[in-house]
Amino acid sequence: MTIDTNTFREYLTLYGTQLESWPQAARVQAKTVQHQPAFLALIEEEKRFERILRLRHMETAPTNLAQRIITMSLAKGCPLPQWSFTDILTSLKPAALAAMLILGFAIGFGALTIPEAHNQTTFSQSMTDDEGSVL
Amino acid sequence: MITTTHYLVKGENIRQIPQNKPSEVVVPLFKGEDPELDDADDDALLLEQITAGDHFAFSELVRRHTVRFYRVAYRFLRSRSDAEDIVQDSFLKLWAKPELWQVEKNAMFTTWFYRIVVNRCLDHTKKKKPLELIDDRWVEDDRAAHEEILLEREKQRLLETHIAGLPERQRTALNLCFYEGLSNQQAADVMGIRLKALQSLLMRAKTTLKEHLRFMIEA
Repeated sequence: MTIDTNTFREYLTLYGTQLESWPQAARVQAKTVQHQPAFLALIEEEKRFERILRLRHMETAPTNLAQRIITMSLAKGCPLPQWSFTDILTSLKPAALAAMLILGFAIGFGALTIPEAHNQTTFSQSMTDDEGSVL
Repeated sequence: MITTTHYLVKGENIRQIPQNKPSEVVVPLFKGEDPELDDADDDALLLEQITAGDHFAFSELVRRHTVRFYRVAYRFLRSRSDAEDIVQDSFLKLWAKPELWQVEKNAMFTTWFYRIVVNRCLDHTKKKKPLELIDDRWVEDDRAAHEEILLEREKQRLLETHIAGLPERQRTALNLCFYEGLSNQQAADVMGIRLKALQSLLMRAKTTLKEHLRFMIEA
């Protein structure tokens, strides 16, 4: 597939003079013509333009900026973790869930038997006098 | 499900091979191997940790990206202190409300954060008076009084003037595509517009500049 100078110029404007970084379809088209004088002239012109654009003054970041941000964030304290009940459930493995259920039942049944245990204590207490000796 | 664990060790990324592969090897990934994808993966991991309140992860993210975002902020604002403020505030907002990132989980962190920084810069420029292009830098350099340097400075000044004169969206497209080196699609994502629209803006920006700077191109 051939490419005309207008389309080639358009691609140069959009993707720059590094033909290797062009999208594949455009690159394939460009490879067939890139050594022809008319296209070479377009590349050279665009390179001159890019050189001018690169004259723009560039300011480097202050070396301590990152550290300043980190220090300020420490002063702001820790954000609250964004956990939901669903997150906790999905993060648990099935075995852990089963163990928690068993534990829950055990505690539940334990609570049911407490009055009985309390009665027993009362009974054993009734078997002792005020000083604790067995009657 | 195959899971891959990432470790961050002294700034070097190490990826552990999934456990169901024949050999368990720890392969170091050096910068440049596939930097964009690797960094995106690492950023996503760091953001998860930040969401859970991990300050170390936040520090790592700040160290990794401060220079890049300061650079883009400076290109818009042409003021050191304003650029510092914008980058600082943007990162601190992320630390205070990391869940903001969760809203757009499919976007790369850099794309999302570019959008935040660029929008804040544009808001800032709307509030402030027009840019004063001649600042202390020029005055200091004038002392050198070197003809070649002065000529270079004059070219820079002209370039700045013409870039500043571009419509805001064209200037943004130029900054992101040419100066930040983003692909057209990435820049379109940052600006929240379609690829064709971005290309149209970029085309108009460069064509206008070429017309204004024609004498320099042909010199």
